[in-house]
Amino acid sequence: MSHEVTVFVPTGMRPLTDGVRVVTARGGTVGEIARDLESRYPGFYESLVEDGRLRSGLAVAINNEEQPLGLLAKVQRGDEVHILPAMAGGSAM
Amino acid sequence: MTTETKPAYNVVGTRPLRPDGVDKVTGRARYGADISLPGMLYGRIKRSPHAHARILSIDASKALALDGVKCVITHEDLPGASDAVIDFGESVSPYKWVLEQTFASEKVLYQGQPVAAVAATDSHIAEDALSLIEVEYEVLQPVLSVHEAMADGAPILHEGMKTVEMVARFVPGDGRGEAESNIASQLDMVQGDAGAAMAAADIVLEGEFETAAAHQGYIEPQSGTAMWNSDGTLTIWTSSQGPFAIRDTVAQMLGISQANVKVVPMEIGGGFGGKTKPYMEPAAALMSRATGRPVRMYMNREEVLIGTGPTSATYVRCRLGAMNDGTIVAVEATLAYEAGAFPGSPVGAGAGCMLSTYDIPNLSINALDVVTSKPKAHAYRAPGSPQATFAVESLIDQLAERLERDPMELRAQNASREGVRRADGVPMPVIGAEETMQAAMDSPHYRSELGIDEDGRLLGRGVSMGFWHNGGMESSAYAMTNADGTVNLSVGSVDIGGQRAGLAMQFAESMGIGYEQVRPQVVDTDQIGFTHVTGGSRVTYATGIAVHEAALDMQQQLAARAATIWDCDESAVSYADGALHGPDGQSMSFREICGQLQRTGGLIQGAADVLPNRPGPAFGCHIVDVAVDRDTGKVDVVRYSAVQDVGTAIHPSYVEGQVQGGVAQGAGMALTEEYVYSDSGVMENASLLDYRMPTSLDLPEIETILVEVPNPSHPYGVRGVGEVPIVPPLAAIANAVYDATGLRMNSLPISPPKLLDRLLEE
Repeated sequence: MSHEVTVFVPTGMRPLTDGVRVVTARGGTVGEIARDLESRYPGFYESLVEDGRLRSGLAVAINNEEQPLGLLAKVQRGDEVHILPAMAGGSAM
Repeated sequence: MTTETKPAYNVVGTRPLRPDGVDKVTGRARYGADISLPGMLYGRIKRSPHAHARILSIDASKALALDGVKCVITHEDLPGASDAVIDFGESVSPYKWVLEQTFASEKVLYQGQPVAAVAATDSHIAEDALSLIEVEYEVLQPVLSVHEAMADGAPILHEGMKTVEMVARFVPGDGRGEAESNIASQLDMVQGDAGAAMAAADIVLEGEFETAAAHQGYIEPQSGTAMWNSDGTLTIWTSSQGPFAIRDTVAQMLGISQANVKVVPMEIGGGFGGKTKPYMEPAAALMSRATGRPVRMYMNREEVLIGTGPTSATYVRCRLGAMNDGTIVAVEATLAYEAGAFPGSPVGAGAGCMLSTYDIPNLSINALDVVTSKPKAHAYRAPGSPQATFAVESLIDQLAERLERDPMELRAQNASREGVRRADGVPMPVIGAEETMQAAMDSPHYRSELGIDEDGRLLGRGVSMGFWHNGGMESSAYAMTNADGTVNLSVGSVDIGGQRAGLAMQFAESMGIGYEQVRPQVVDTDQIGFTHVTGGSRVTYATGIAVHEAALDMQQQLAARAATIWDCDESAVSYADGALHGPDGQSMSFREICGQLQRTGGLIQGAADVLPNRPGPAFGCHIVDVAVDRDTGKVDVVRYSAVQDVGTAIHPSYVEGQVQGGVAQGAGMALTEEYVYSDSGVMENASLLDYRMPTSLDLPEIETILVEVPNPSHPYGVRGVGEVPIVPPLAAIANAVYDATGLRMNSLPISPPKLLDRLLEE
């Protein structure tokens, strides 16, 4: 099922979104969200994904919960999706 | 003390003896270097004497000719590099750089970098052989600070490296910058409009802050023993925080399957983040394969200091804007952290943590990961947070003085709370920042008068907050019932700070049985599901959830068995308060059903693999009184109180111990600990006589106040506790020194000569 969510674009990726910090996107999973954004912001998907998985060193949070499933994590309508650096200490959260 | 009434637990919150205690106090516990095997060889590492040099040749012929020497290996014995990235739990690193830290290939990039290893029939022969390995170098100019590294015309340490601008903490090899650089990557965090808010602020404060590299200071040096078996399997004994990380890395390096590598975790004499990657194990394994004999290796203290990864030396430039009513409206900061020889400092975590205590709507943080000619920085207890927090908390202290406000009330006015966005935009879950601040303000220490020092020293008091996000990650647990009503509980989390006890307590609480009925053990990688490192303050939280889930699994199976015994539907059986309850008033205690299991279908095991993702961020507030000798510049900590939101203290004594240990290490970073280098990049204080860590004689009893704001995402409310307490001491002590002397010491450590110079200037 596809939902509209809010994506918080990290500063390092804002050149891809013309400097916009918060964008909306549709999808049922984080991966689908990334593909939806790719259609409007070329390069977005590639920045997140490597070999079909979330790039090493990146983490994804939905609202305030880091998602171990990465691109496979499901989203609900109105969720916030955050793209984060994976921090030392084992978690972005 | 605790500050909040918690649910009525039977085991959680008590203080039983730890199951590993007797072995440790009687010397029976076996650590990494205690392994002794028939036919064992002794391995040693040949290390670079230079901080930056090109390797022209390595000649091991004389060493190999020495009687007793069985093997010499170099980078040529390692498999080729790939683009893989290794996950050590508290850090990740491209595989090619892991190889370079095992043995340098073309260049050495820090003093102490391995260039060769030797295995011999005894340790003295191995030591003698090191000097017979001839390495010819072309010495190059080292780069010894972030300032040198970022200066125009600085020697480029990694040919072709360009600054990467990515969201990731660092990304290998695909730099997008124009020019070669020693800045491996940069990370920006921007919220609101810091520039405009700063311009509109009533008060703007700014400063530059520096901290020195500090070592984790674990008492047990690194070790590793490997035995390559004739069937192609490999067994490794090591004292590591992450046996699975060691297993997976070594398997990849040697090109063998993970299933064919067994890592046996020995007892561990401290780690603090520093023992989450292999240093000795790959070389030991390679030499075991080459000789067909087990090989044991361990470091001496000098090797620990020069050959493993301390935390980064750092430079932080920070501006803070506030209104006259005390509201902090903006922060701008640039962080430059030394990564050492290879990219991967904890600067991202520093950027993410430094403002998390407060609700600051406008911020702009630029974080730089900078390579230098020093050992590769590695995780150290709340990696990156203490250094950046030092800058922010120092400026807030200045703001309180400027506004003539109580420093804790000013902090409380700006405190973060649930829903407030962190620097990376993520909203906070349920947190206890305000409760922690209030508990500090209510504490006997904060409400006391500073008094007068009988020895005439200058007295001062300082405070600081600190934050750490805590970790989740994967854990496994396995519990076996016994016929007498006891349980053997197996986990993969290495026990550094009382985890056996804390996990057994949670399991006992979940099962409604006594702590003494549960025998916990840490098992090897063949005997348990994947379990990530003991680090990130994650074990009591994540492995705690694993043992809880294993208990629930066991309860479900017990209910099914009781249904069979009682000839009723399984759904009509419940498990509560350590007993099974049937539909017709039947009841059977855990011990009673255990006695019937073998005659009714066999004993039962409960198991769980979990990957929890809501670890519960945590805050600490520290209050410190110092006494400064104006004739020597020596700073003594005379009273210290540490307040911390711990969620729920499973075993309060071990929580208090974690807090006290963190304070001691933070005090070392504030006052005495630093890597001192010569101009050529050689560490000049590579012993514990000269690298000065605080001892019990240097510190007073550290008072602890445990605030309990339960983490709603853990069955007992646990938050990680191990890392938060190292964050506040740097700023708290520096603020106290200012209160005592009127001197802002923005460069740590505040060592006696450094402070004396400033006192004399005044």
